Amino acid sequence: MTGDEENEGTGLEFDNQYKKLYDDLAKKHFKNKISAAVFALSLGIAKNWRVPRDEWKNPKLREDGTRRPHHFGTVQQVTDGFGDFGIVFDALGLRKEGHNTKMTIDEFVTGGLKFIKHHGLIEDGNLMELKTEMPNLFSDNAV
Amino acid sequence: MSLLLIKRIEVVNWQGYYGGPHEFDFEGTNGRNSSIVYADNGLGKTALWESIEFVLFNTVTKKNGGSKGLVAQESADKPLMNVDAFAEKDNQYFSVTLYFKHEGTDYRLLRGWYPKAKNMSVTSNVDLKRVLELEDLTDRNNPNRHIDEKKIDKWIDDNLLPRKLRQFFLFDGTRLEEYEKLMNPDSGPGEELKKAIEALIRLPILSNGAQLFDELDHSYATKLGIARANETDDKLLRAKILECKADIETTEKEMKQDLDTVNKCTKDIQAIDDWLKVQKPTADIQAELERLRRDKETQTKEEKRLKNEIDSLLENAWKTILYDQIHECQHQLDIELRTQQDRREKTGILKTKLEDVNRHLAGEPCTLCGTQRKPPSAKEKKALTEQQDGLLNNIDKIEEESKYPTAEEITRRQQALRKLVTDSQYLNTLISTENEREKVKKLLKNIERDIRIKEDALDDDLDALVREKKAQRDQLIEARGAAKTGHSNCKVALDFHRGVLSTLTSTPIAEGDSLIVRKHTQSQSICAALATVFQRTTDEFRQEVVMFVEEEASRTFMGVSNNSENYSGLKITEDFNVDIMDKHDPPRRDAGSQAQSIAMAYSMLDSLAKCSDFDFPMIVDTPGRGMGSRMAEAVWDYFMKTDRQVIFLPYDKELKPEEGDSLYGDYLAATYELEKVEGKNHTEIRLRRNNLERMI
Repeated sequence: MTGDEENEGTGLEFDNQYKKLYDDLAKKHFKNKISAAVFALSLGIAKNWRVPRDEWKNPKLREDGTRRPHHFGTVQQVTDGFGDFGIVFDALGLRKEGHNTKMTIDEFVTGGLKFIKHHGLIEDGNLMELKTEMPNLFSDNAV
Repeated sequence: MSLLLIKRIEVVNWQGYYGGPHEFDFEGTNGRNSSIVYADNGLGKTALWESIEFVLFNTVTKKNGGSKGLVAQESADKPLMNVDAFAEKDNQYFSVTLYFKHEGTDYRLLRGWYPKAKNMSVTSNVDLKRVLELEDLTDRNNPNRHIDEKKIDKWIDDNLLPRKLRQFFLFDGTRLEEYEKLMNPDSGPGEELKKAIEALIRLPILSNGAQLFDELDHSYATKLGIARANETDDKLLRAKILECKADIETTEKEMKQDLDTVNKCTKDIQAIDDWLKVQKPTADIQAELERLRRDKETQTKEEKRLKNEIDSLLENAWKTILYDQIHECQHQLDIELRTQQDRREKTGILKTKLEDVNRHLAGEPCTLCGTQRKPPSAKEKKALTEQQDGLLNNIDKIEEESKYPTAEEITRRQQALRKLVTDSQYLNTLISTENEREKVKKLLKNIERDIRIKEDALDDDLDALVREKKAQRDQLIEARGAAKTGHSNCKVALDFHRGVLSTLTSTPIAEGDSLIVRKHTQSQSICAALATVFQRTTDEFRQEVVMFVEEEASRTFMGVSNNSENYSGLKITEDFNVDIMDKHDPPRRDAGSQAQSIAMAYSMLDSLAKCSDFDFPMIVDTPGRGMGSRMAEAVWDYFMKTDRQVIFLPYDKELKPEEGDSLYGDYLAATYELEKVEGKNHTEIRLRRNNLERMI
C-alpha cells in the first residue's frame, strides 16, 4: 500500500447514481458483487470510459440527505481476487498524475457502469451490443 | 355363393360425400356381385371402406389407433360428418345404410348420428344422438320386421361379422405391415394368428367343452372326497380330506371374487372409456395441456441452463475484455526487459574500454591483443584522461538509468500480468449462448400463451370430472391387474389342493363302498374321460383346420405369387408362424421378398375367411399396395374371378379404370369411379360398367 493510498484510503467507490444498476447486475449474473464491479472496470478500461470523480453526481440516496459515493470493496480485494490493475494503469499510461490505483479504479468502474447503462447491457438479449462496441472481441464466425 | 351378400351401400353427408344419398349397388345379374371402385387418392375410397366398418361397428379405427371423431369440432382431421354439412344448420347429420342378404333374408341396416332435437344447432358431438335400425325387408307388412335396437350390435357380432375378426374381411393395403406381423411376429409365437384361427373356426366351443368336463371332474372329486370322509373310520384321513375340501372351497371362493373383480373392473373401465369418448374434446385439450406443460418444464430447464452458462461466461468475461490491454502491457514489459538488457551490454562494453584506457595510461599491454605499449606521452595522457572521463560519465549515466525497474520489480510485474492474462480471446460463445437463450425464451412465451388459450377453452367442471374419471380408470386398471394376479395365484393353489384331494381319495371302488361313493367315483371317471376326449378332439380338429387353412392358403398363394415356380406353398408352423416354402425336397423355408409376404398375407386372409363360419365379403382398400404390376394382376385375376363377393378399391396407379373395366368388367356387377365435384371438395360417384339387377 502506498502512502497515497493510505492518505486517500483504499475503499473503492463509484458514483452512487449507478448503485441500483450495479446491484441488479450483480444479482442477475454474478456470484458476488465485486465480480460485477470488475466486469464494469474491464469495460471502462477497454473502452477508456472513465468518469472523473468531480463529475460524479452522487444523488441523495439516504434519508439524511448525504451525498456519498457507493463503497464496493477494497483495492486489496480486487488485487487478491482478480489482479493488480495498478500495473495495467502504469503500463498503459492510464494513471493520472497524483492518482493512485484506488482513484483510477474508481473512475474506470464508474465509467464501466455508465457504459453498461448506456448500452442497456443489463437487459436480456442486449449483450449483442458488445459485438458492435468491441468487434475485436469477436472472431469472424461470431453470431 | 356367399351366405352374406352386400347389395347396396348408401351414404349421406359421410366424410367427403356431401348430401345424398350417394349409392353404390353391388347386386349384379347372373351372380356377379363383385365390384371395383376406382379413385385417385383423397377422393373417397377409404371413406367408402370405412362406411362399412362404421355401419357394422359404430366406429372408424384410425391407423395410428383410436377412433375418428364424429364432427369437425371433435376431430379436425377428417371427421365422419361432412365438414360442409356440419356448417349448415339444417344439414347436421350423417348416415350409412347397408342393404344386404343374409341366409336368404334381405335386410336394411342404418346407422347414423342426428341432432338430439329438431331445429337444434349442433356445435359438438354431444349434441348428436345415434340412430340405429335393422329391418327385415322380406315382409313389409310384418310389424316385427324391425329388430330391437338394443340387440342389433350383438346380432351383427353373432351373425354377420365379429368385431374382432373384421381385419380379415375389411382389408386395408396400407396396413399390410400389421398383417405381415400377424403372420410372422417379431417376438414369440403367432399367438394372434392362433387366436384368430381359433375364433374363426369357433374352436372355443370345443375347448370350452373340455374345460367344462374338467371342471365337472374336479367337482365330482370334491364330492367323492366328502363322501369318503363321511364313511371312513380313519379319523386322520377324514380330517385331511375335510381340510383339503375347505381349502378348495376357500380358494374357489377367492377365485370367484377375483374373477368378479376383474369383470366388474372391465365393465367399469369400459363405461369410463365410453364416457371419455363422449368427452373427447375435453380429454384432447387436457392431453394437449399436459404436453404443453411438459414442454414448458423442459424449456424452462433449458432456459435456466443457458442462463447459468451465460453467468459463468460473464464471470470470466472481464479477462477477455481486457485481452488486448493485458497483451499490450506484456509487450511494454518485454520492451523494458530488452532495454535493461541493452543497457547491461552497453555498460559492459564501456567498462572494458575504460579498463583498456586505464592500462594504456599505466603503459601496460593492450587488453584485447596483448601488444606492448610505450608509456603515453603527455599529450596522449591528456587525451586518454579525457576519454577516461567520458567513459566514466557514460557508465554512470547508464547505470543510473537502469536502476528502475529493478529485476524484482520486473518479476513482480510479470507475475501480476500472468494472473491477468487469458487464452480466451473472443466472446463468441457468450453471444451465441445469449441468442440461444432468447430463442428458448420466445418459445416459452409461445408455450405459455398456448397454455392460457387451452386453459380458457377448458370447462373447469368438466376438466375436474374428466381428471377424476381418468384417475378412477387408473385405479380400476390397477385393481384389475391385482385381481388377475390373485386369480392366477389361486389357480395354482387350487391345482395343488385338488391334487392333494385326488391323492387322498383315489382309492379304487371297494366292496364296502357306499352307493354314493361308487356314484361319484364313476361320475368323476366319466368326466375325466370326456375332458380327455374333448381335449384330444380339439387338438385334432385344430390340426385339421390348420392343415385345411394351409392347403387353401397355399393354393391361393400359388395362384397369386409371381414367383410360384420356385415355391411349393405355405406352411403354418407349430408355433403358428407362416412360412413360404421352396421347392426343395423336403421343402425349406424361403425368406421371400416384401411382395411375396404381401401375397402370403392375402392368401392367409382369404383362406381364413373361407375356413371360417363367417361368410362375409372381402372389401379391400388399396389392394395393390406394395406389389409389382405382375403380382397385382395375378391378385386381381384371382379374386375377381372367384365366386366370393369382393369389393376392391384401387387407386389409379394400381389399376387404371379403362384397364380394369376391360379385363374384369364382365365378371363384375358394376364398376364405379369417384370424382370431385367441380369447385368443391365433395365426392361424386360415376357408374362405369353396369351389370346390375336394379338400375340406379
